[in-house]
Amino acid sequence: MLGAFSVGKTSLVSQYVHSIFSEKYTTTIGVKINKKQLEIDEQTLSMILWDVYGEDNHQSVMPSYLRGLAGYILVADPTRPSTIETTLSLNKMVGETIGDMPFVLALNKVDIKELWDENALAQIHDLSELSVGTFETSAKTDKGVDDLFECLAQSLLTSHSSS
Amino acid sequence: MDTEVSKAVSQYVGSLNLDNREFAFFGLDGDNCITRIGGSVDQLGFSNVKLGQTAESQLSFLEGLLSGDNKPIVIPNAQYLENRFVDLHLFFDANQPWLLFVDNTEVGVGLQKAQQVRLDQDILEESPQSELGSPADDEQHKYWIATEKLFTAFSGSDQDIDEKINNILNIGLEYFQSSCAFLTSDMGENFTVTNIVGNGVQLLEPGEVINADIKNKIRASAASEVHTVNGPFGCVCFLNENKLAYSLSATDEKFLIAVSGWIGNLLGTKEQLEFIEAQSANYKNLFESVPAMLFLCDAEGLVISVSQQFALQVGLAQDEVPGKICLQFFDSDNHGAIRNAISTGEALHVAAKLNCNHSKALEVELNVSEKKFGAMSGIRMVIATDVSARNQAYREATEQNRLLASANESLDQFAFVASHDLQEPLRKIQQFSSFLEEDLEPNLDVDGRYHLEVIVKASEKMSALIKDLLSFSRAKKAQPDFHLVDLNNLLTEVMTELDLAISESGAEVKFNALPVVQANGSLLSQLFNNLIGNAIKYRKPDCQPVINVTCNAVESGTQICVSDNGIGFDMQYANKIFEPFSRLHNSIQYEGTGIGLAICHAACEKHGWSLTAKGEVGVGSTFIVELNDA
Repeated sequence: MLGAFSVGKTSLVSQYVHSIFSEKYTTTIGVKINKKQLEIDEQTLSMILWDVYGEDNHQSVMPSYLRGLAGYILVADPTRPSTIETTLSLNKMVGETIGDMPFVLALNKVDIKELWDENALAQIHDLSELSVGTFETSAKTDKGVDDLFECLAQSLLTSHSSS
Repeated sequence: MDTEVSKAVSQYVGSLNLDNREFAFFGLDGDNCITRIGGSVDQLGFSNVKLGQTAESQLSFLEGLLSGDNKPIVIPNAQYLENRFVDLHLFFDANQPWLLFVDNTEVGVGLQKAQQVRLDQDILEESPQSELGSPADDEQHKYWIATEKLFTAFSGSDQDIDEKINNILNIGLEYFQSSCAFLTSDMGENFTVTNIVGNGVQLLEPGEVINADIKNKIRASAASEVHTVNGPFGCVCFLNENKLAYSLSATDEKFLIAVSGWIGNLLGTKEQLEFIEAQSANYKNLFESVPAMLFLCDAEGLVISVSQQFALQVGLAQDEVPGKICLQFFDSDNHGAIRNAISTGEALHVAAKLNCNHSKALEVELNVSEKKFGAMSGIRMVIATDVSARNQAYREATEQNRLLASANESLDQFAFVASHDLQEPLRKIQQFSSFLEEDLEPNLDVDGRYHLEVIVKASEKMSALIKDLLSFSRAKKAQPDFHLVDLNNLLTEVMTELDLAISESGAEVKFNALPVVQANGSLLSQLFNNLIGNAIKYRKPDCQPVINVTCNAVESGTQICVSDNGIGFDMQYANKIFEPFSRLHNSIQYEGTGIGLAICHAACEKHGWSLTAKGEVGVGSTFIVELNDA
């Protein structure tokens, strides 16, 4: 889970793994590690989710947190244009550090879609094209959350089977 | 490889600044199976991790981490458990991976609080409805950013304490926009500079004592006292050459206090580390030079440190032993017991043989105890005591006792056979002496009559001696049957046997309420016959003998005492009187063979009882039979 601070990475994981959402914003230090088992094409997968601290003006994501990743979810908050820029730079950093890996794009906080910035969305269009899937999600209402993670799982399964 | 693993961990851990934080480590083989486990595994949530299984199968959060190149990485503040922050280190030694987990919860929680406040502020600022932007809000924002930096500087794990202090000073430098920051240690009137950052002020050098002249130049700094856990340390100062004085707001004051607090914390840790280091050096020196064979190892017997004496015995240099499995120094027959003792962590008197390089194996006794050294728990201290000489002495003593018992048995046998076989020729001497006396009596002159009389008396004495010797031998050799014996009845019978002696001496023998005991009647009869007979024999002239036989309950059981008002004896002979043929008086004064009390002693031994005597010359004697009630 990569993205700017306060875009909802931890909330998405919490909703997906524990079916819990809290209105209270709690910042992440380091990385929170969760495990989720899911069924895809009659196969059981264990997904180890690394919810990495959000990038902000004072700290960027350290490359060591990317070690061993099989795929990633980029999370952006279209109500905050600055988070789109962070998403783009993070994707670039992943590519430079470990090469092309499958990723899914989450446009979070769809429950307040009326506050989304249209220019920001236009900015992320190209990134969306590169992803294996782009989802409008809301950790608050659970919209698109399962689809988001399952899309990445499906993609990992496919790439694993073909390799 | 296995013998070198501890060095890899200790070198890596030694390069970190752990500040007494808990840590756990795992060594992996080429298939990522766990081959070594150490440190505070329970505290860090790894109590179920087992050797011989892959790390990923047991610690699923490691999935993917262990694949790839052998590049070491550090993942700070990994939260695989709720509310616990752990720095995860992956490093390699000879291409073998090692995982080190260092607890960082205290710093992580603090960092989270600071970051939370700052990001809340950032979110508000981003909000179009934000009313922030006033000077007061800017100042608050600046404060939170600087505070978070302090947390980060404090929590850095790859820096030493002075580097951390300098980082904190630099953060303050930036905060106060000053040109120079430094620490001073308190030396009373004057101060010594210990850390300097920035270059705005050229008049200070580390180690310089600040005198009154310099004090006047730097008095306009923003400064705060620094305290460590051990008391006042000095001050942290921020200077600006362009300003005589800072105008510190309440927020600035708060930040200055935070800076001095963090620095005090670090300096306290430094002082403690220096103390521990000094103590450790002393301890290591003491441990390694102690003239005893001892070593420290982990729960699997991997030697960590060793005394000079131990290294000498096994024929290795002192620095060659650490990293080896201790079992290799002991005889293979002892490996099971030693492995069990070390695994348990507490064991006493474990017998083992220490293989020595230059001599035959030493017999040793191992005492194992579990110790904790700093953050390293579960260390085993093994003390090997050389018991070769003791065991040899024990074996020799056992052999001597066996030979002595055998000789005593032969002697007893000889005494019995000799005394028995002597009876017949003696009887012949007595008989034929009697014939000679009868046949030659009328023709014997004075000399001849005297010579015959000597032969008769000597043979009578010899007969008595042989009789007593036989009694003594029988008492020693007897395998008696035990029955319930009423001592009152037994004493009555004994008095009947001694009737003549009692009436001749006018003795008064008193007894009552004696117990019934499990005993051999024949031996017991002989015992009391001898004791009462002796009391009558060794009476004082012109004094009626009074003999009391009493029974007393004492702490150790029951005592039967035979006391008299006779001539008594000197207590220095209290033991000697029980030896065979031992006499305190010659046979002219008191006739006898000196066997009687020896027979009494042997009779008591046969019952498992003890016989002792007390006496006072001219007052009387008391013989005490202590019954074994059990």
